[in-house]
Amino acid sequence: MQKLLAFLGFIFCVLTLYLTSSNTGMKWITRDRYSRVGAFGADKYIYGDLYGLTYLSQFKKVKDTNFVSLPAIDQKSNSDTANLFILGDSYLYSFFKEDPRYYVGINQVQFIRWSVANPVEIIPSKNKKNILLIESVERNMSGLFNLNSVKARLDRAEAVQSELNTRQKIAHFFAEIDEGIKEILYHQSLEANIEFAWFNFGFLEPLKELKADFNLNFFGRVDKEVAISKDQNFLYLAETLNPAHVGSSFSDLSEAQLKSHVSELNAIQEYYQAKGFDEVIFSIIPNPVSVLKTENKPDNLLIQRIKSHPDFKGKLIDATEGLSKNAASNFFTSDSHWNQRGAKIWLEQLNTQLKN
Amino acid sequence: MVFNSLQFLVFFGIVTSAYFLLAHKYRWALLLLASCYFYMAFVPIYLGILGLTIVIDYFAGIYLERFQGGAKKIFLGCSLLANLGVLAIFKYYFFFTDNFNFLANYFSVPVHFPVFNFLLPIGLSFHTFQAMSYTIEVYRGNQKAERNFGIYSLYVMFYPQLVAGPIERPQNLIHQFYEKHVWDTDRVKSGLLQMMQGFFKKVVIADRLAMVVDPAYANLSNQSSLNLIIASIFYSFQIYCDFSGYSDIAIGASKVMGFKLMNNFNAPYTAKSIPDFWRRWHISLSTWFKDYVYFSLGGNRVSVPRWYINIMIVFILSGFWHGASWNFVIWGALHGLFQLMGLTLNRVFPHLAADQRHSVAGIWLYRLFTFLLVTIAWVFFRIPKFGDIQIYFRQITQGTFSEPISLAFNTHELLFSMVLIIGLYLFDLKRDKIKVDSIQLFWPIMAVMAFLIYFFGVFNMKQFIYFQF
Repeated sequence: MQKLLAFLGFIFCVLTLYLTSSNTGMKWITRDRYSRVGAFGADKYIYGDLYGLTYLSQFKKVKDTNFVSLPAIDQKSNSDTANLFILGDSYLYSFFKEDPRYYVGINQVQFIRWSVANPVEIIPSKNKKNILLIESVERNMSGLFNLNSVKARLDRAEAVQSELNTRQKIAHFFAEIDEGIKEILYHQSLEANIEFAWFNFGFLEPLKELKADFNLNFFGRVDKEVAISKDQNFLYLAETLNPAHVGSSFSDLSEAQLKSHVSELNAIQEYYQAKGFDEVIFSIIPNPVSVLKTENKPDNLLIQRIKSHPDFKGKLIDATEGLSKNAASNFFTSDSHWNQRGAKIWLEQLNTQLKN
Repeated sequence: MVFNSLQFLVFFGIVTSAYFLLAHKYRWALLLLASCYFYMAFVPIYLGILGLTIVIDYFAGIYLERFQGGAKKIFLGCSLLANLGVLAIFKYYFFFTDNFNFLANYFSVPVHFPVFNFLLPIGLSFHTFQAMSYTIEVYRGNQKAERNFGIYSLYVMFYPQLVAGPIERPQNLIHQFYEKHVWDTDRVKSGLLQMMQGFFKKVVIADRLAMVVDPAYANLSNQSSLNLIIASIFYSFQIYCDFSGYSDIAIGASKVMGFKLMNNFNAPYTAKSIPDFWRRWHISLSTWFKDYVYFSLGGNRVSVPRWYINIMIVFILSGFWHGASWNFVIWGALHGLFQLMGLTLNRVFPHLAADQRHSVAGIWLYRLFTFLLVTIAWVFFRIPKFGDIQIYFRQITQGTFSEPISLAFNTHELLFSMVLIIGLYLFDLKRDKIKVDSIQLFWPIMAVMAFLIYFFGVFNMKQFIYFQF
């Protein structure tokens, strides 16, 4: 009996480790879980990624993703075509993926996500116009919008650091061995994968909500990654409200910092234009809190200040103004992203830019 | 791999079930492989450093047994040098060069050592001390040299106690690897219950208290006196629950497989004096220092001044063991001074001390006073910078007790934390008198504990405090 128990325990744990350590295994678990409804199926994302972090019952609302469809551009107008390369995040990828039908004058889109594990070499076509769109949400902008960071994603050759002294090279060498071993033995997202495999079931949601509601109502706190807006209508990523965090809409932004951002953007533009891109367009998606204005605090106006900076030589898509009109209808209440309507406002601005 | 992670639960499930499925002769190999995997989850390459000292100590042990006299001393010296050398390079090099360069600069001496700040191999001080314990015991003739390289490696690397103890003695552990442990349901249940107790201490109490302690200590100049008092008391219990929680998980996980590790904590805050505290706190380390340093220096069988010096040496070394920083040295020295003060008072007022210990009020007074001294000493343990220590004492003595409490908790959670602390204290105090057959009530207790851990747990995978040592 004990042997049988030990055997079953062994099989269960080995299976867990095997499936959660492989991308194929996780795809299988995810697909299976999402295909089911009810107790043994679960999809926390249909209620929003921030609900998935907090499990607050008051924010358990199915995201309405159908209330406005994104415009597809008439393909006939795409006869004079260009290639669009996008380095961006989920704000664009979740809505547009690599579909050229959304963009004016574009017949091919290549999307590289900031989270890409290895650099993806993008090669501008010699026969067509090449446009590079570099996009990030405001909270991540300062860490991503610099030449090294962009090169690390888009330039296979350039990604290797070349200016290392001997000591750094030795450290780099050992760090690479270390990373290599870790990659083989421990999947990067193992903890999250196990959590998903073991606990992401519909029948556990009431318990999760009970804990979340208890913590909120009795202890007055929510998951540390999330904050509730002052008007109680929206969930935000907590870092976007924390002035001590560089990506916060309320952090201090000195003139020197601003100048540094601008010079990085100019450097990126110059570098990629020299590599054969006809146009480099930047886009910073405002943090929802910057647009929704629920906190009654002045924000640092990062996007507007970059756009109007006298030294800035590039093109910047700033959808803040468009998003601010009837702002509450442009964002999900329990998700860190904009909704279809918000995405459409941004897209219209990009297409105006592309037409020009 | 931290114990308070799901990865560990999977790992524990695989290793423990495989342990019972495998034939006895292969079990040590399984445990050794598992321990390597466990250790490599932190910084894989540091396994090489651990391997190097294991090889040196393994051969040192064999030669220590083979030779006598001066040669024996040389082999012991080589082993200690190798172990202390690794500690010196990875843990103390920065401290010494930094201080030396500062002094050289101050006295205008044109010497400058290059400063390297190595990433400290996790649990270095623990497994180094365990390895040293082996060679010293072989040298003293209390332990036979281990011939099986795998078993010796396992003695140093046994995963439950590899990174934060208890620091075992070879006489207690090595022979257990040769013994065949059969499945014993009561023992397995007892081990799992102890693990549960450890998880509860870590994720419900320690990590909850950290939510108040960390921001308060990170922003000392904005704290009122009352805030700092609460944060300091909370820290005393945070570090206790964090470390003893780890020990409970380590001892419990070992017990499930049939291994008996030494007890590391015994209700330390019920201690009635500082020496009593040290008989209850981190027992495996305090007995290590007692056996290998204090007794080697002559213990108390010397003149009184020399005895006092011995005590101070041991405590300062103990502080230094924790970290290469002056605040740890001061923490150790403070405990040494408290001991000396206690000894002196006992010698001057022997009747007073005896009377106090026999009355209930006296006992509680002693407990309270001991806790106060320990908590004051923890301040130096917690704050690495002198400037911040100054700020701490400036803020705490400014007498701002009437200001409302402005900690990371609301009143409910503050009260809840206090209830947890009092509950833990009472449990510690009455543990021996609690007559609940936990083995019979295993499933209900496990279910309730699991629910409480889930419901009140703070799951941020915060590392154990003692991992840094």
